[in-house]
Amino acid sequence: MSKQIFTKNANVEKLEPYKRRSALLPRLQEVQKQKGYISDNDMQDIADEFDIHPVEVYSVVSFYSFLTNKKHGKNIIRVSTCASSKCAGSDNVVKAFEQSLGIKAGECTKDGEFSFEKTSCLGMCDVSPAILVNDTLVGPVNPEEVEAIIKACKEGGVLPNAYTTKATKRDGKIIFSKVEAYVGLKKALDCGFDAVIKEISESNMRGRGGAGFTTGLKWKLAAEKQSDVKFVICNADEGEPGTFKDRVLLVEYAQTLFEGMVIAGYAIGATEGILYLRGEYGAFKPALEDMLEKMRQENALGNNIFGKEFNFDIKIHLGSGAYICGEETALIESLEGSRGEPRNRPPFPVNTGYNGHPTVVNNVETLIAVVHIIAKGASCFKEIGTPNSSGTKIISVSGDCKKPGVYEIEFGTSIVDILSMVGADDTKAVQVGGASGTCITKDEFKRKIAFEDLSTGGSIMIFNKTRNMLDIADNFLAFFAEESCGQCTPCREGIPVLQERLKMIQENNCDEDEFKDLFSLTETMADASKCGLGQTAPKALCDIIEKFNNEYTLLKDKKEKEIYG
Amino acid sequence: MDKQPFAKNTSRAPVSQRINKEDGVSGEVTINIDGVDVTVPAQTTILEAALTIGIRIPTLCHHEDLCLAGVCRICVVEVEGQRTLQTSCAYPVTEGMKVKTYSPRVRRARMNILQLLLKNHHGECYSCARNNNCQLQFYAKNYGIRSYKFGHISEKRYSADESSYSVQRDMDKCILCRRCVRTCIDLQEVGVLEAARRGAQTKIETYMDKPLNEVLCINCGQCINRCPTGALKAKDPSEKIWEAIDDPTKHVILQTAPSPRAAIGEEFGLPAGNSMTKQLNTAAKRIGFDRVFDTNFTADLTIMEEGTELLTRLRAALTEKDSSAKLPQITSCSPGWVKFCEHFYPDYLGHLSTAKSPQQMFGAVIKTWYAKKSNLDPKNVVSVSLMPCTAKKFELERPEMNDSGAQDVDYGLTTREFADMIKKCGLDLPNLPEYDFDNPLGIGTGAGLVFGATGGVMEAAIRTAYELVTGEEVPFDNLKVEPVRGMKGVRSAAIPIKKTVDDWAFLKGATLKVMIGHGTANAKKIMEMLVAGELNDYHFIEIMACPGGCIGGGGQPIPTSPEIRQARAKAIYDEDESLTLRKSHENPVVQEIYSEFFTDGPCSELSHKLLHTAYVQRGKRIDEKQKEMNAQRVKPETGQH
Repeated sequence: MSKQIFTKNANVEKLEPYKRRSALLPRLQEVQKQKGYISDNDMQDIADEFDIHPVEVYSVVSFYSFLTNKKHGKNIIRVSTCASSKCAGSDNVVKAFEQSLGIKAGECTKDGEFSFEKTSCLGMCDVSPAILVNDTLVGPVNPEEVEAIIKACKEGGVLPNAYTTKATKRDGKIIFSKVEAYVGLKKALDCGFDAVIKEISESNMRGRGGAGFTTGLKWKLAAEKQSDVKFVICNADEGEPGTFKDRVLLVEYAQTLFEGMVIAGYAIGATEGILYLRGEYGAFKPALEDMLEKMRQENALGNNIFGKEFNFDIKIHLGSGAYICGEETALIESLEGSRGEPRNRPPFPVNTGYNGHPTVVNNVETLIAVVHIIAKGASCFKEIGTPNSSGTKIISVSGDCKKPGVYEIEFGTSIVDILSMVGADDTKAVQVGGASGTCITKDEFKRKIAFEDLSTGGSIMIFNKTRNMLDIADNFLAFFAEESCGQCTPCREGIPVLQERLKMIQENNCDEDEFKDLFSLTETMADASKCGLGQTAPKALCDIIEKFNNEYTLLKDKKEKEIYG
Repeated sequence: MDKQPFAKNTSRAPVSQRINKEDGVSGEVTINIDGVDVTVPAQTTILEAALTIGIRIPTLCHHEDLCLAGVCRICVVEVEGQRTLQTSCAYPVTEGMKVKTYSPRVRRARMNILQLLLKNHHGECYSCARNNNCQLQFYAKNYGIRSYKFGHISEKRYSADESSYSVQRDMDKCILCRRCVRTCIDLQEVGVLEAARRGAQTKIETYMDKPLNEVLCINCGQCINRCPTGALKAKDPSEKIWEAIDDPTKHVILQTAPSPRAAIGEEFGLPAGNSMTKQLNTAAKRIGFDRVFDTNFTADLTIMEEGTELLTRLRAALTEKDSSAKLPQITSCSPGWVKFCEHFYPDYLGHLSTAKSPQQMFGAVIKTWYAKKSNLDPKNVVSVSLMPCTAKKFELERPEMNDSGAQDVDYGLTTREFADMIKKCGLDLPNLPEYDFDNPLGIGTGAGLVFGATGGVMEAAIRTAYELVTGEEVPFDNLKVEPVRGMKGVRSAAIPIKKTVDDWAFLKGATLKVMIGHGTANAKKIMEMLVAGELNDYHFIEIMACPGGCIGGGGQPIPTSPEIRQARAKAIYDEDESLTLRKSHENPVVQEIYSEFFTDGPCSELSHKLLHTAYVQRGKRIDEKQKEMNAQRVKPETGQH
């Protein structure tokens, strides 16, 4: 007789099940790592362990792309299919792998050695085409090196072009400027949490994830909320195609980041911080754990930090391959062991966040900037940038340019300046803000990076004259189709319609009525989708078909209007 | 009104899906909806506020019994100051808020969302079980859908799951509102259905997408009642029944349970709460059933058997200190609850009464006593039941339900399916003349009737047991045992026994402690208390799988809501009061069957053979063994057989 589902905790009413569930994803990741998949038996055992139904475990496993209930190969090779990788020739890399392994993407070799998959942006666009070999990020990959990579997997050799965490010399006015460790934190602890929030508010700091909510206000709301338990969450789940700034920040500025989390915790009265690290960056986890340990030894974490009556610690939670978890409420759902499906708002996380407690979710870059603001004063920060967008922005530039990479620019910098900085000639279009961002053409290159003009979470993708923009739009839509959580109608059902209509346009088989319906749909998606993903999914498509209308022709009216199917 | 919210407050519902009520916010707020000022309590949703001024905002994922979802997006409205449209089902009103519920932007969004939903909604309406009672169809009409702007799927994507004896799923008609998921996981806590995969691949699945009869479905059918479309339906046996009716060699009998009669009027346009008992009999006769009998008769018989069993257990436990006599005894007339217990509490099946459900007692009696009395060959008797229930379809197929020598009950109809049979004959049910039940199995008491509402079995048992033990009528006004009535999820009552007749002297001075639960989420609460040893001083517990009891059964008319269930319950209680026979032991046919057939009385050898059953320790592991058991190929292990 198997164990009973409900009897393990007789006090089931007293223990809120969703609290126990927080450990579910780490548990599933553990099994996935050990066995390469989560079997029927494992899913049922884990359901017993967590006192939930097997179908709930199955539902979660089926949601995340890094979890699977089907047997995987011993080695998993994932090729990034984002626009930057495509431009850099990822299709040839896919072909080379398919040829060498003798399988198609999504399959496993007969000997069980290799699984081969396509995946969304890996955050390696500056060295694309990029792949993820088990935990290791590799790029750029040359199709000729594919054999060597396979050999290295089999024999345990060194992967060519594996991403190393070697720090580069970087320059910038804030994030990439020097700040002594703990100066900010000590100053914060000395001046009191009110003053910290005041300073951050005065700096006019706005969240760097893209939405641009005022950081000081977010902290103030969380601080004012009465609760014994509060959380600070660092959103390190960057997944927007063409974004890889957090990769650099996590590797090179981890100490400052964690210090920023401690300051945030102090400001709002939290005792626990969680770094939600995207699954693709799992390889960075050991180094980040080491940094946390070092900080604990230095008394910058733990109890009575720097002798003050303030306890705070940070743990790292690894994602499992879902772009949507970058949306803050989806991230919280994911932390709670559920499918990463965005919540209804209100309530907002500052009120009702992780496990129902007030929670501040901040971007990596935001938390690093906080340290600089506290250490150097709000005015130093405010005098940089534009009146509405203080400070600097870390951007990740990729695509058709000579010097792709991560740069710190002042808010107000124009696209022209960026293009010349990275050595981009012959540029046809720039996609600002990733797949969910804005596509601009040559006559708009004077526009500026700023919340009031071109807002971006950091992604700048450059396309030159050889690129077919409809193909780019198609690539973005494919990304959203893969990454939509599937919860709400406009996004789940809308994206496939956008894809179909785009295909019709590409095949010169779309008439004006159908084109009009397409626009009506994009407006509804922007209006009525539950979260930012669905709201912004049609944006790039709209920009591209509006601005590059010379790349296709519409039919006047279809004589016999074809019905689908 | 005793309104009991279910899943809305369950601890299991994720934070994101609970009603967003902030502590300490109270009072009233005034908002403006479409130019009309309306004052409502703080934290009301826009949807509820709009309803107070006669605006019905369309909803698909919203359901009164369930926690929030906010996923279909059809209920979006424009809230001044908000960049995007907001879902009115989830958005709480705040002072001074200005809302537009049918602005051009809102209308465009609703049209497009409907078009998107229709795009992948496979199948046409004519052949759908929910034709004319489908929310998607309703809105498609209301919003003037005349063509498919985004196309319409012509090929099936999934094969329908018809593996279950009770519930059938056709995911081609699913619009992913997830009401079934919230019903199964939050409302019922059975946990069979969940959303799987993501993006356009999202689909409501069972564990590893197995057929429904291989997982832990308890067949309660609550998901069917809450499905806005025809994606979920009950397995309809009516074609087989028509064949039997048309076959002159067959003697076709219909037994009708108490709950369908209190609800079937809704299928004919009547408001909830109109009893159709005698019109229903007329309809059954006109359709061609040879006899129409009253399940209330075996409900009364159940009280005799189950009551005797309880008193026997009490005697064993109290006077003989027999620890094998499991107390509290728990009712077993709800087959959904029985299967729930078999899956999740297999080690506690000993608490279940071994008495069969009224449906199955009836089946066993028809093909034995009645057949013999009427000189009928049991082989030519076709026994059909009209039930509010989908789980009854599974129950009658259980291998242990063949005690008469053949399958005791041949077919089980739901209220909805029987309404369709009536409509097929062109019968206008509400305007049919009245007709009494046939003899001899047509007499049931009010006690049998109240079985239909939660607490009813308990009430009937108390009316009889109290009188048997004390020799006096229950000390409640007009026999209304109020403490066990109502819609509270879990409730309990204590009935002191001050004096007794000689046979039951050992009960003198005792207090009979009883508990009632309805909906399996509440059953789980009770069982957790039982497991924790907190119910050791309880004697008798009534559990019904469905919210509201049988009147809220999975075979009842759609839609359902707390108000509808309340109205159906009221119809039953009112009818009970209008009857002269209101105690099971006073049923003359019950007395007759004990003097003629079960001559050794309740819980005797013959009654054990025909009227009692045994249970299967199914457990909750989903494997080959489970599949065998669910396919009814495994005989019971636990019980008195």
